[in-house]
Amino acid sequence: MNERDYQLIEDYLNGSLKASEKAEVEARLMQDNAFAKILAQQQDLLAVVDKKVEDDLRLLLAEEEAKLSNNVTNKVSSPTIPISRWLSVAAAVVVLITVGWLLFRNESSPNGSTLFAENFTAYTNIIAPNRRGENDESRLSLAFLAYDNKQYQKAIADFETLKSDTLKSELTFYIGVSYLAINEIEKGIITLKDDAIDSKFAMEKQWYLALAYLKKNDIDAAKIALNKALHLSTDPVLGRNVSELLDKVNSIE
Amino acid sequence: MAKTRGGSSANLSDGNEVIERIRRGDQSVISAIYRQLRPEFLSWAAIRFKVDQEQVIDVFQESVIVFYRNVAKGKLTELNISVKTYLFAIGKNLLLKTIRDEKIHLDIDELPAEAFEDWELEKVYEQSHSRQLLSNALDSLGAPCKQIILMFYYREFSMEAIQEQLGYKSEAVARTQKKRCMQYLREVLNTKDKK
Repeated sequence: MNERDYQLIEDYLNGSLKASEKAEVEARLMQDNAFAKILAQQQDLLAVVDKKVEDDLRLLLAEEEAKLSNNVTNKVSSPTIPISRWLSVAAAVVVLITVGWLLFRNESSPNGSTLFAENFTAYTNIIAPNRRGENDESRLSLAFLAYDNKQYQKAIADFETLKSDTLKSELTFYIGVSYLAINEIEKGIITLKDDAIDSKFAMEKQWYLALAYLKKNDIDAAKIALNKALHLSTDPVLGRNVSELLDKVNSIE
Repeated sequence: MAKTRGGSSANLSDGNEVIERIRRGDQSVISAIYRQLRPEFLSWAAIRFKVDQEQVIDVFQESVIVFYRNVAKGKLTELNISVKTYLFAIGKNLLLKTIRDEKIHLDIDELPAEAFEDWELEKVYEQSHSRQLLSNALDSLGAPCKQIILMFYYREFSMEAIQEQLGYKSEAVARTQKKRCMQYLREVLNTKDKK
């Protein structure tokens, strides 16, 4: 199969072929199993894409529903407790909460550093597999091999060398993430703030900046970055992580 | 205007503003719609239809998804009525369909065995297996590739619109990026096929 075949199938499925081209595709589908398989795969892709987007939305709505239902349950159930019983239970709860708070206040309230540790994972390598057959193939592949193997110092050095020639935005972003992975937070922040990183990574950039600020315990800066990420909201899955983290950050005293 | 978590808000009386925000990829507006219109939809459906609350909630969620789908896929490009009116109209149709489907619902045990031919079951299994592989492969791509694929195939954006929305230097660069993402997707699938 070549690129033209893939394009032909795509055009066939979105109905943009002329009648003669359409007939040609249909005739070929009868004879060429590989071609028919690609068509089936493309149809599957359309179905999977629809399902993925809408399942993400269903999850989002189910989360909203859970929050709203909890609110309703709480509002409805509280007045049904008799007042005398409520007072004795409330007194016991106050004592328990106070003792619990005194014993566990350090462990139970999240802090920036623990939130960083819970949420930081190095961003997936999506670049190297896309660049095969080009001039910088071996150097780029080696750089990303180091990144995938968590050899971040080597990856940073290689990305720095390569970024003047190619993929400046992408490699700058990966350098920033690599710095965070080896706990060089200040360098990570400076790199991630670099204007060389374009809007393709806008939401991801704010997410990693927020994590970096959390690691520094700069809670206000983390909140600003998370709100920016939430506003950009180009990736629903990351969007959920951002919302959850923002809730936790807001609960920090 | 109701404020929502994370600073997002939505003026639902201006349907075109909502459409514009969805087209820009702002999903927070969907949460806002859900939160703002859910109580009224539940009360309205409870009076109009004999359906239990769980079903009404399912229908409301599905109505929001249908609304999103129509906007995202470019079937609904402008709205001269409020989002509430549009959404309740979808909800009404879905509730009527739910009631109709319940009436013609057959107990699966009463169907004859011949209704489930082996080859049909195999076909269904194969299709769901290959779609699962494809779904996993898509997840392994990372956000920029996923974004471009979802924008192109779900939201049916032109390459020019993708270039503008994602800030690529030119339409050609966006097109090349999409081609690379698709090549990578096929590579991942082929690797999994061989395992």
